Parts: sequence; C-alpha cells; structure tokens
Amino acid sequence: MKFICAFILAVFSFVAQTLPLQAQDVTLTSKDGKVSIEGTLLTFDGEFYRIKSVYGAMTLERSAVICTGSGCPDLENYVAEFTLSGAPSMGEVLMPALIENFARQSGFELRLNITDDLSFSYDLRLPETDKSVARIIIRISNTDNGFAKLLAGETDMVLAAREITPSEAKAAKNAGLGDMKNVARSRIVALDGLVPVVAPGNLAESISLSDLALVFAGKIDNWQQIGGPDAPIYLHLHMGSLGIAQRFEKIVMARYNLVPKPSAIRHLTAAALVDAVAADPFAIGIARFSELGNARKLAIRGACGMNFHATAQSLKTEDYPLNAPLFLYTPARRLPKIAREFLTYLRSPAAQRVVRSVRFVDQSVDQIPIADQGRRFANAIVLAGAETKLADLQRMISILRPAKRLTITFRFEAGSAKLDAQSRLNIVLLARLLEAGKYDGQDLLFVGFSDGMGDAAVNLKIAKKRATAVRAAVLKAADTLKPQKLSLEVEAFGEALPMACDDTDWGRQVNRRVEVWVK
Amino acid sequence: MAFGWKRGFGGLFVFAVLAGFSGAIAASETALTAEFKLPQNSAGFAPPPNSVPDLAGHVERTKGNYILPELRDNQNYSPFGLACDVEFTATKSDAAMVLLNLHAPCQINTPLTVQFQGLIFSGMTTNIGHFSTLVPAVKADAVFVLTLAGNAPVSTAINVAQANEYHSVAVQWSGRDDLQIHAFERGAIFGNKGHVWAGAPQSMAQALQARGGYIIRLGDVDIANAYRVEIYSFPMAQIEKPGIVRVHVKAKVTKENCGQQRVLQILQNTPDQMAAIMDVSITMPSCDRIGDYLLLKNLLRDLKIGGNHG
Repeated sequence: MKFICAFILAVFSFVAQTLPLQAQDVTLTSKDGKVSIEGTLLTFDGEFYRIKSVYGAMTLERSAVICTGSGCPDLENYVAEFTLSGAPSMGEVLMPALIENFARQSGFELRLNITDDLSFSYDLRLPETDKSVARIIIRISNTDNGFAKLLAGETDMVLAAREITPSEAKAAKNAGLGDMKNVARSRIVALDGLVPVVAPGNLAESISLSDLALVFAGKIDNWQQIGGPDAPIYLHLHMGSLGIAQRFEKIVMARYNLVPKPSAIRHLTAAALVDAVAADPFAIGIARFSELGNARKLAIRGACGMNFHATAQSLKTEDYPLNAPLFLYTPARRLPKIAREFLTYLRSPAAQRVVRSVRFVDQSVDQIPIADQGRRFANAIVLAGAETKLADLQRMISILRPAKRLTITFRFEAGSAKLDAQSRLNIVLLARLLEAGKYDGQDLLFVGFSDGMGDAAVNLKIAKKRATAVRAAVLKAADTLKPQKLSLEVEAFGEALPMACDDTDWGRQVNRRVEVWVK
Repeated sequence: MAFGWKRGFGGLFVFAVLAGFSGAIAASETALTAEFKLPQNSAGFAPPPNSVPDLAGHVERTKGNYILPELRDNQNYSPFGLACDVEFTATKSDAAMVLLNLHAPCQINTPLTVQFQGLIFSGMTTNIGHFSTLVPAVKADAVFVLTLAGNAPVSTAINVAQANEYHSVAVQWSGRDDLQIHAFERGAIFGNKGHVWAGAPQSMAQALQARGGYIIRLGDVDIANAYRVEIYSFPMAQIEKPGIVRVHVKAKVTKENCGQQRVLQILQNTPDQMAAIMDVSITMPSCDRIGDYLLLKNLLRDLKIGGNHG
C-alpha cells in the first residue's frame, strides 16, 4: 500500500457529491507512469478525483495523476459549481454584491443568469478564453429551507438569518455533515439588527422592549397606551418562516412569554414590510437595520432612561440589544477550490467594504476613543450604586483613559455563561487579527463588567473570571501567535460602568460583558 | 419614417441658415450648439417652402461681403455643397446631461452607434447627415465614441462634474422593445408621482424641480435590431433626507422571447462607486404567459439615500 500513498492525499467521507457522475470506470495513473489504480469515479471537484477502488474510497489530486477510461471528466471544460440557499435577507442583495466583487477582484468576467428573483446564478468566465470556469448558484427561500436543502444534499452553503437550531444541528450531524455548531462550520457574513420602525409621520421616538413585546402580542393595541394619539396600532412582521421573524420571537417575544398576535400583517420581503409601514402612520413593524426603506427607526428605551439606538457601531459592539447577525453555514466536506477561495474572501477587507456599500454592517474592528463615550461615562456616574465608590470610578478612568475601546465585545446568552453566537465568532475574528499582527507592540486589555445585582465584590470577581476566560479562548484560537509580540492583560471593573439599567433581564444581559481595549 | 422626415427638415432649416453665411460654415462648436434646435423638439416644425437651398444664388448675393471658403481639389462635398467633414461635439446640459451633435453632411440617412461609459445605442443621421441627442453623462469624465456605419469611429470627451452628484443605473439590449426600468422614488406608489419609467419619464425640468430622477431611453425605434439603453439617473448627492428609491426591471413576455434566453446588460455601481457593466441572461417565462411581465426587483439594486444608518 505504501506506493499508493505516495499520491493519495486524503480519504474523505462525502455525503453530498460535488459533481454527481455516472458510475464509470477510470484508471488513474501517476505522472511517472509507475503506479495506477482502477476504480469507479465517484466525484470530481476540479481538483480531486474521488474513486471507489478495491482499496476502498480514495481521493487523488488531479495534478498528480492522468485519468484514462470512459469515466474521466472533461478537464478542459470542467466548471466548478456550488450553491448557496436560504435567507432572502442575504440572498437578495448582500451575497450577489459579494459574489460580484469576488469575481471581479479575481479577474473573472461575470454573467448573471436569472430565472426569477429567487433563483439565479453567476457564471465566472476567464476573459482570455471566454470560457466558464465556475458557476455560483443562489436559491432564495428562507433559513429553515436552507438547512433542509443542506440535509438533502441540495446546497453547499446555507444562508441563515438566525443560528442553527439544536434539532437542525442534530439532523446535520446524523447526516454526516459534521458538527454545525463548531465555529469552523459557520461564519458571520455581515451584522444586522432587529429595529422597530414606524412611518416618517409617526411621532414616536422610542419604545421599551416590554412594550414592544406587548404591542406585538396585541396586549397594547392603541398608540395612546404608549404615549401617542388615540389610534389603533397596526402590526407588521416578516413571514414566520423567515429566520428574521424567528429571531424576533426568540429574543423579544419569548423573553416575556408572549407570541405575536395572529392578525399581524406578515410580509415575504423586508422591502415590502418597510414600504407598508412607511405608508401608514399608525403602523409599527420589526424591520432589519439593513433594510429600513423610507421608514423611521425607533430606539429601544431602557427603564431608567437610557435609549439604545441601532447604529453600525452599536451592532458591532452589541451594545444595542437586538442584534441579528447573518450567518453562512458550510458542511464538513471538501468544497470546490473556488468555493473555498470565496469563503476566504468573505473575511477580507474588500468584502467588508462591499458589506458597508450595500448598507449592511461589516465586521471590521474600529477603535472608539474615550472622548466618544461621554454618555457611557456620564451614565456610570449617575447610576453608580451604593457599592460603587468614587475611588472605583477613578481607578477605572485612570486605566481606560489612555486606551481605546475596540468594537469587538463579548456578551453572553440570556441567563447563561455561554458566549452568544456573535461573540463566539468574535473570538475567531480577534484571534485572526492578533495572528496577522494587527496589534503588535500594543497593549490589549480584556475588561470584565457585570450587572449590578448582588454583592459588588462577587460581581467584580465574576467579571474578572469572564475576562480571563475570554482571553484564554482568544489565545487558544490564535495558535500561531507569538505571545511576546504584544501584551494581553485582564482587568475588571464589575458593575462600575453599566450600559443599561439592571431592572430588566435584557438590561442585565447588556451589562454582562467583556470589552477589549487597546493602547 | 414620418418622424425622420420632420427631423430631417428641422435640421435642414438650420443648415440653410448657416449655408447663407458661407464664411461661417466652420462655425465654432459653441455657436453651432447654441443655435441648434433639438431634433426631438422639431415636431410641428414646418419645412421651409423650398427644401433645396439655392446655394448658387447665395454665393452670388454674398460675393462682395464674404470671403468664400477655399475650394480644395481633394475635398468631397455633399449635395448641399458642404465639405464632407465629420464634426462630433458634446455640450453640457442640465441634470448632468450632455447634448451630442453630429454633422456628417455626406453620411445622410446613415445608421450609427454611440458608445459611452460601457453603454451603446443606435441612431441614424437625418437626410442632411445630422444627428443630435441628449444623454446622461453617467460619469464625470465622459467619453463618447460615435461610429457611422462603414466609417472609422469619431470621439469627443467632456468633463461633467455634476455627474458625481447623480447615481445612474441602466439596462441595455438589442432588438425589441420589451424591457423597462421602473423607479419608485421615496415611497411612490405605482402610477403616481415619483413612479418614474419610460411611460412617465419625468422631464429634466421636473426632475430638477422635484429633486428627483429621470429616465432616458436611447436607441432609434425605427432601426431593426437597434442597440437600446434605458438609463435612470437620480441626484443622490443633492438629497439629505434619508430614504430609498426602489428600482425594478420589468421584462415583457412576448411571442418572440417566451421560453427563451433574453440577453441584456446592466450598468450599476460597484462598491467603490465605479459604474460597471454586467452581462445578464434571463430565462423568460413560458409561452402561456405571453403579455405578462417578469418583475425583477433585485436585478438593479435599490438606491439608499442619506444617513438612515448612522
């Protein structure tokens, strides 16, 4: 067997096939002619042959062998292909803009083939020969359907407007697609948020999260009940099958054990939703930050007077409580080379520019100087509890004043010590930046904060523990980082710098965090 | 060709006037464009009584006052006595538009194409070799290349700084008239004000006044398989109030295109705000849907205005 190993790279257990081929006989011969293997060709992805031989399934690199026999693929005219299926919030504008930029940047010419708004593909052609070398297919339905297609082997990537559910992850695992909960199986393409919107003529400015839930449950059904005119409230939501609607039910309605009123008007597209809301002064809708149309966004009001505005920065830092990142899930199998290149491209600065240009929120890490955090520090003074002494605040300011806060922040799932999805992927994001030397020669400070419930000393201890855990996770993910390149310290100020009031559980959730500061 | 006839005589009149001042035939570009009436506006214009000018008479009458141009042996002349030079000029107009003018006295009724910023459309010279049209500049450094059938291309360039304030998107194709851009400006409802399309293109003056966009269709309807382009331009930089312009493309299902591939190109901005052309192939709905429209809401991206995202 040793001689065969010389050009066998790896043996994969494929489930869905990259290029389903009629089972036909091939003979793969090493370039020096010394070794050959016969078998049935299972798949060919442009780079690797996978054949069923007497030795079992094996994968051989195209460049190492010569294929002869009736089953050999047409190497000259091979077109790599991969499919993205799922959420309209990603498939309509975001992914097309990214694919177009990726293709142009890679020197391909593009042709867009359209059947309709939900079904289209891009041909990537070499300008010299005008020959298609790859085809990227987009099928828009919803996140549920995207995962269903993955299980059915009908898609290579899932466009998801929400996290994978435990049952979907279990089904994927059983289907041999790997552990979809692993950070290697998902990435955030862009950040987004849920935003309450009204018509431009509606005078409302903000709404508390509990009122928002009560409004959408129909328990509050007149604007008068929330400080507006005596007029009924008309409700607008996305279709329940859409991930964005499910995200709203999970992070807002379920928090208060409520469900949306059945008479709420449901929309198939984000554009239709905001257009309907913008045209009706008595309407309220839950829109996406990336698609506000002509509607006006409302701030989320905290009980003690702090308002949370959805902005690019507050979505990056998760200081705004209703984030809704947009995920791309990939199965644990080899994708064509061009698909892997596309995944690498999605992390690049060029991709972040594209994300911004189509008005989604990108993941480039910004630095916020202390001068731009005046409101936060003012709140810290106003809300300083009995247990927060002036000396505590002075210690905090003296440490943070020379530094800048990174937009990367780590937050935890409701009532849990587990990082939320955006934060879990932020671990990877920060680790990559460290590996790339982005903060070489600087001091990075992981700063733990807590809510103000319970004993301040205990809170400080918990906050420090969290910051230490986050730093450890980042270091573990940054395995090529040389520690001497920069200093990574841990600090904690417990409940000294609250972002929100502690009188609601979402407020406490916003307060429990690990910030990263750099100087 | 009734339209072509009127257009021809509209231009002819102007030529006759110029011919009268024979010394001024090589009039400067500015003078020329200033005096020209747009052929599009010439509907209802009565042709002069004698459609062939009496050039000999003019020469006779003006002998004492004007210096005749030097007649060159190797120079060809049109039937109206004009030198067979081709003159192609561009002049700035309102709303980031450019007025193109072509004099090609010896290329009468000749098909032509104009290429600019990756776009192309077909036209035809009049029966005195004239062609004139308004086009959106699309970008500030605008270059126009005009090719008369069977001739080498001629070009003209112009800087239109105002083009930077406008955001233009376009659809172009050749052949039948089955594609339309529909723009819904800031919440406009179908058929109402602010719904801009070829059937309600919003004049330049209206567009300027309403601070809205306008649609220009280019490509001569009388030429078979003409290159056509429909351009929607919106003054993005002039608008501060946040909002959105929804841009849709409608493709009519006809007996010629049903069930087939409709090939076209679109122009829209890339992330770095450069206008880029992309090939598009639409699989048209089957022939039992003739007369319907295929509505594509995401082929051209909506124009997001202002700081709703700050």
